[in-house]
Amino acid sequence: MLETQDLHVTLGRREILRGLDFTASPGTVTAIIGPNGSGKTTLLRALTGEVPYRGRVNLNGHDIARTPGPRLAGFRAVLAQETHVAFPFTAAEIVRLGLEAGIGAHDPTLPERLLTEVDLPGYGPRPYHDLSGGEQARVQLARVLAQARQPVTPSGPGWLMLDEPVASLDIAHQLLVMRLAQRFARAGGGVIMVLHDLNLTAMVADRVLLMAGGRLAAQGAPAEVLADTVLQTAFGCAIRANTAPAEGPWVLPQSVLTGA
Amino acid sequence: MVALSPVAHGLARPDPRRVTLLLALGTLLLALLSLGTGAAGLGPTELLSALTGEGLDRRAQVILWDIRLPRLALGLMVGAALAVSGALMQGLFRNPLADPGIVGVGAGAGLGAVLAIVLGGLLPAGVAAFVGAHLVPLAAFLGGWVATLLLYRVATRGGRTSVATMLLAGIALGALAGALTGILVYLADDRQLRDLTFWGMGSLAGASWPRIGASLPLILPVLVLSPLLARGLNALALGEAQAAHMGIAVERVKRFAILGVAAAAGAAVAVAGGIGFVGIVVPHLLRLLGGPDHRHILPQAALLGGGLLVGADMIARSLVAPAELPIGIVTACLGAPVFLWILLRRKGGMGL
Repeated sequence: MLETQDLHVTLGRREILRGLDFTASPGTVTAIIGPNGSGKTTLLRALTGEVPYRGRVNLNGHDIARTPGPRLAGFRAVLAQETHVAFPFTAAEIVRLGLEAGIGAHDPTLPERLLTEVDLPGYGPRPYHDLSGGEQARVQLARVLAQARQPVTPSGPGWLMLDEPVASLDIAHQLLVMRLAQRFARAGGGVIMVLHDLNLTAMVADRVLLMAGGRLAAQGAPAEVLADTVLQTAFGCAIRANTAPAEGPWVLPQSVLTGA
Repeated sequence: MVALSPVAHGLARPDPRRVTLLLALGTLLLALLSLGTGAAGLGPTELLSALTGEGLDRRAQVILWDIRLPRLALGLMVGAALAVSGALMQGLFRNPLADPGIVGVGAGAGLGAVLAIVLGGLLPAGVAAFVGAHLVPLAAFLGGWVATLLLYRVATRGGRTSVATMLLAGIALGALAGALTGILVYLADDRQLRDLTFWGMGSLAGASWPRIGASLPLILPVLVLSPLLARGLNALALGEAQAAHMGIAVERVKRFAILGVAAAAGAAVAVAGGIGFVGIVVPHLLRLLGGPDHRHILPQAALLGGGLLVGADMIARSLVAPAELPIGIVTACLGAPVFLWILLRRKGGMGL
């Protein structure tokens, strides 16, 4: 279980997060959405302890501010929006870093198998810097999946925290990443991810946190949060949510000419 | 369904253990060659005959035990210290251009050494007797430590190091340390000036067993213990935040890496003066050869650094024999072009 209590973050003199209370359960995918600058990434960085915050963040019952890093790394893996790699590591070496960070035994074929899972079969020996942006993003995802290779760990459910994991991916690979996130959650782990694409959110999220101005403008099931008036208020433009199809709500931006 | 990715053709890297073995053999060979090279005309055949029990005359024994062996040992030690501190520093700064000599750590250590030579006489007699011959290496270590700490504070923001800031801050630190060193040289008396000149030449010519004994306690622990930082330095290549998420105690790794750089580079500067570029060339060559994994780079750097410096010393001794070139000139002639080459071919991941 992930719980926050009255979470505040102030960077410089600006208050970025203004008191957030929510919970996220293992076994579900939680999407954080919201307009640019609403505090999505800052929220994720507070949840991972990367920025100083006031309030509390509890993960599997541990106050993360008081839990040693190596312990947290055993049940929580984090994917940053961008990762710069110094030195000419190969794709397999990057994935191996994640394996060493996780708990439990692993065998030498695992990097290659994880790379295959993110659709990079045979990429192990390739230099990371020679890969395209989308391929690099998937190598980093494979590293994070390597660290969180047990959806349920001896110290409770595993957690994946992903900041815009599909930002540089084509549509097929966006869907692939969503499937991997969903599979992790179905196996008992918890997934928290920042997303921009409201349609992907509608498809994959079990719960949606809508951020606006450093606060939670709405939280709940996709059908509740991805509603016309909620979205139009938060994003300030004309959006229509179509709740009719069986797959869930589809969000349609209205014509640019009729925009806000 | 996801489109098929092209089949990847990777670069085959040699087995790291074989690389280490070859480096060890190469260094051993160079060491034997170096023992048989010198102005006294004592060649490898005489040395071999000594091994087979024919014995050496008194003069040859002195040359071997009091001149060539300490010089060889000092060369191996200083080369290993410089290369390992270069590798540690590059890992710490996530940057292949970091080198104690280039970014002012050598100058800081030099300032410490000069301080000890010039003002060491002012120490209370008890303290002086206690530290004894270790005073100059210790002072160099402290100077290098302060310089490394300052550099890291200035050049690293939010867990990322800017190359430009690092190099510029290194120039500023080096200039400041150089100026302070200048003041001390100005204050020095004649005897101290001779010590300073001798020290500043960047040479292995002053090799003696006591000198080796004075710096070994600083260098040996770094050589032996640095591989313990390897996993942390590997993870740091993805940035401080990512390393922390992977369970690395980032602050501890940084603190030990800075201490290691200061100890090894400081002690090397204290006993051999300013020998540049070993710290940048060796790790770079090793990364080209077998990849950037610090678990292999750190022990291999000790071997290649030692071998390289012994080789450079042979060149320094034989080019203008019976005189000798300062070894710093040889390493700069070999190392500066490599440095420029790295600058020219650099691409992704340099974090400028």
